[in-house]
Order: sequence, then C-alpha cells, then structure tokens
Amino acid sequence: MSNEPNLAGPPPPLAGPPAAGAPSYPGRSPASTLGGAGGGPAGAPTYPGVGLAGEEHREADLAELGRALGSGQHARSLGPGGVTSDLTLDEVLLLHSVGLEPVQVAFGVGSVSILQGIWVWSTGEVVDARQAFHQALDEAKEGVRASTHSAGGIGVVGADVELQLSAHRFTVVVTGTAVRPYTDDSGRRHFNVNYRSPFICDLSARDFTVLTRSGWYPLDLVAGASYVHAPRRSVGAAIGQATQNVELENYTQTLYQAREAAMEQLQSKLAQAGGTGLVDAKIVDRPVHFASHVVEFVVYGTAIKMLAETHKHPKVSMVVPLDDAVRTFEATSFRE
Amino acid sequence: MASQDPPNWPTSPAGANSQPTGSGPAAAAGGGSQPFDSGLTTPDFAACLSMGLRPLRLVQGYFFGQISNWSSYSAYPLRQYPCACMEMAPHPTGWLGQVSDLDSAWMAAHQAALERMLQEAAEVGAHGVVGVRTDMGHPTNETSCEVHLYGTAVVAAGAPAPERPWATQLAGHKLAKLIEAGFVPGWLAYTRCTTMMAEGCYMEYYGTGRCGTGYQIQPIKDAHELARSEAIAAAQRAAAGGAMYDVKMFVHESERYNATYITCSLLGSVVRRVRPTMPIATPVASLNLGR
Repeated sequence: MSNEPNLAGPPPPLAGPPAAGAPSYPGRSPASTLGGAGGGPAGAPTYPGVGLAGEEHREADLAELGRALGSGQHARSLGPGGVTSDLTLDEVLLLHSVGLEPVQVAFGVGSVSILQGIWVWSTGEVVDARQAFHQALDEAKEGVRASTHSAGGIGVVGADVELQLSAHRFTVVVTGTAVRPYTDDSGRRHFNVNYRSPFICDLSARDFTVLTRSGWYPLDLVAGASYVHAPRRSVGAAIGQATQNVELENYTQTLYQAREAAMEQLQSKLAQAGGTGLVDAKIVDRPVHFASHVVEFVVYGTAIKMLAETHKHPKVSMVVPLDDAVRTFEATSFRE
Repeated sequence: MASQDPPNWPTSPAGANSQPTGSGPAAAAGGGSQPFDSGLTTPDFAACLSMGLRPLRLVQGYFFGQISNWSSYSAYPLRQYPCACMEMAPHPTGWLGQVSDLDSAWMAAHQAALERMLQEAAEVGAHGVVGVRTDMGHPTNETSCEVHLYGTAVVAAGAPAPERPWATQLAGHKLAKLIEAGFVPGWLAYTRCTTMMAEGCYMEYYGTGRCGTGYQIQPIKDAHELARSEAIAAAQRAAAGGAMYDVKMFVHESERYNATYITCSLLGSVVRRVRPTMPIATPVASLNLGR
C-alpha cells in the first residue's frame, strides 16, 4: 500500500477495496471518497482544488442583523436538529468561515488490561505498557471515527486526549467535535477536501483555520509512548554518593532512552498515516506514580500534509492596541 | 458566588416583588425613559444599541437545593458482569447502572434557575437575555446544589415579542456574527449522566482487597461510554430542532464504596438555524504588538 495520498485530480471512485489495515466505512454520500482505490492511507484526503469558503461574502451591518434576530425568533428552524458541539461559538463561527459546521460531540474509549507484575519485574523498556497504550489509543480513535462517520461527519476537530494509567489498566479517552462540510441554500458545498475515513486532529478551530488556509490539512492523531525502568545504582555507588550533589545518570539516561523510543514511534506512526509533518506536539513526561523507577514519556500531535501546490502564507495585519492600562510611577523605583 | 443584589432587587422567584426599582410602564415597554442597568461590557453595550437591542435590566435566576444522599444509591443494574476473581465458581458480582436521581435533580435545578431568569425577563417586557453567565456548584458539600444564572434583559426595537424570551451567553458583535451565520439564539441547556460500576465480590470482605470487576476492562469501558453517550443523547434531545454549541463537557470520576462513579455533564447554548447563508467572511489574521 502506498502511503502517498491522492493529491490532485478527481476524487477516487466510491467502490473498491479498502486500503489494507484501514477501517472500512461504507459510502454515505457522493461527496465522500471512501475505500481508497488509489491505495492511500486511512484518513488521507484528496484535493480536487479547494475553493475556500467565505471569500465573496459581504458583511451585513449591525442594524440589519438586529432585525434578522427579531424576525428570526418567529422563523421555523431549518436543517437537522440535535446537533451538539464542545467548540466555543467563536470556534463554530471560525469553522463556518472555512466551510465546515459541527455535527456532534464524538468520543471513543479504549481500555486495555495490564498485568500488574510488568512494572516491577521488567528491566529496560516496559514493552507491554507501550503496547497497551497504542492498543487503547487505537481503540479510542476507532470509536471516535465510528461515531463521526455514523453522524455524517468527515473528521474531528479539537480532539482532547485523556490518558489514565493505573497499575493494571490503561484507559484512553478521545473527545472532540465531529464536523461536516457546510452546504448553503444554493446547494454549494464549501469544503472540498475529501477524506477516505474521518480525520482526527487535536487542533483548535483557530489552528485548523490557519492550517487549512495555508494549504495544509490534518490527517490523524499520532502518538509515541515509552515506559522505561531506571536501573538502580549499585549499593557501593549509592553509599559513595550519599553526601554528594551529583547527577543521577541512571535517571537521565532513562529519560533519554524513553524519549528516543517514543519519538521513533511517533515518526513511524506519522509515516504510516501519510503525513509529511506534525504540529503542536504535546509531551507528557512524568514518573509513574505507582512504579517509582519507571519513567513515562508520551508524545502526541496531529499529522498533517500539504495539499496545495505551495505553502500559502497567510497575510497578517499588525495591530497596535491602544487600550493598555494607564502606567504610573512606582514610588519604590526612586529608592536606592 | 457573584451575588451583588442592589436594594429591592427581586431575588425571589415567581412573582414576589416582581416590579423593578423605579420601574414604570415606559421601562417595562423598553421605552427608555427609566434608567436601565446591564452587565454588558462597553463594546457589547455599543454593539447591542447598534443592533437595536435596548438593555432593560440585569435579570437573575437562582436555585438552591438539597440532593439526598440516597440519590447516590438510586442506580439499578443495567448490565451484570462476572467477577474476574478465581474464587470458586464464576459468580456475577459486578454491575453497571445509571444514577438517574442525581442527574435529574441537577438538571431540574438548572431548568428552574433558567425559568426564573426568563420569567424576570418576561416581567419587564424583554424579548431576550444576552450575556448570560452560569454559576453552578456545591456551596457546602455534595448534598447541596446551587445554580445561579444572570444576564442582561434586552428588547429588540420594532420586533414582535417572541412567545418566550430567548437567552444566550453572547452579546454584542459575537451575537451579530452568530446571526450573520444564519442562527438565532434559543436557550441554555444542561444535561448530565452519572454511571456507577459497582463491585461486590465477597472475597473483598475476607481481606484480599479489591478484586473482581475492577480488574476487568469491559465494565469500566462501558461505564465511560454510557456516561458520555447518555449525556450527549440528552443534549441532542434538548437541542431538538437546533444545535447545542459551546458545550462545556465535564467528566468527573470518583471511587466510593467499592464503586466507580463517572459523571459527564454538558452545559451549552442552544441555537436554531433559521437561514441558510454563505459562510461568513474569512477572518483577518492579526498580530498583537501591544508589548
């Protein structure tokens, strides 16, 4: 299976076998390009020329909107009901400007059992814990994708990742808002990138907006994790260093080892997802509270890929706010 | 709690002392001959006036209640799970249930506070309430619940009064953008679901510590999923015919009496789409050079 997503041209046909290893979501609308006849990875978008929304819009004046509010209160509700979103209204409006709208709060839970003994009986990397992490994350992502797909969404924005590690269980909960392309009254769809299976990104709507306007699109939430046992010092070294201020090299080396292993996994998951990069990596780097000699290093973020021909630099207006608080002299500054 | 009631302020629900201080027919009709009060910031106030929304009064809804300890035990088993411990024969000891008394008490408390705020707004002839803030919590311990909603009642110039005042946490330009995107504000909604995963393996009473269901994956996974999916489903019902946006999702997990309680709460703003429109204008990126 090639990891290259389909960059240009018409979307691949609906029919066709799903990419190996990729979950299969049956087609629900002509707009969705599922199955991946071109053999792209799960979640890889196609890019048939993006006409971004919000360009030709004329801003209404406030008085007009006030009248719309008054008359709107007596208007019948349009469109599908029962939509939920944990995005703020600011974010909903931002997504609206790039042609997306929320559908529902989507979540997935993955929970994997861990043998308690692995925390004390292992040396070096605790491989079972790493495997449990990836299994739980995959289950959670699969749950998010399934609920997104059944709600008619094309992806999840603002995914929040919750990691709960205990001695005998690893639970991962991924929660976000499923979004779908917005169609106006003329039937025009305002988000023209097609995904084979729902994307998941932990970017806020602001970051999503900036990213897509620059020509980049999110693919998947990818992660690397490593749990490494710090070797104990020898009795002689411990006694010899008892009165010294020294670096505990065993811990330093353990953290480096954990970091290297986790970053390597991240790279391989990133390549698997078909991404050319990762933005907004979050690092969880902490001792495991129930296993004193184990160091945890988890890194996760959103795999992205540039689908435009070139990166588009967003024009940035510089703003000088004039609303600073009035500054006064502090009498203490005159003291010597 | 932000409770700064001016003298003669009607804090009591349902009609008691329902006339605002110094109010007259002109104020009630939004005529503007009486002074108004509002919780709006100055830019929001200016934008509301430009939109033809005239502020009338800062209105509030308040509810304080007791939540019985028994509510925590109101769950009944929805699903049974076999105990994972290897003592004797397989025995079903763990179960999953929904603590619905706890949830309905909180949802009713929020609903009561909202109704009281809207009633105050209706009494002064308002069409809606903007800039609503919600404050919820346990002021003393887990057996008490307090909900406080407050916002600025406004009247829309030249518009007929709606059947029921609407409410939104937005005010000013953000409210204008919402309308520009084709929505009108509806009301505020709060839904929640508490699930409990109970363990009852008798081996725990013989000193072997926690055993059984807690070591299984399916019950805890089901408890997580049930709490979230029921709260989201309730939100979808609450937002029927519209959308519940700006949802604050709180998930709280606690261990009590050999049981795991998971609560998922959703607090959000219900809006209705009344016009399909083009997407709103692309926002301009800006760089703040203040410092």
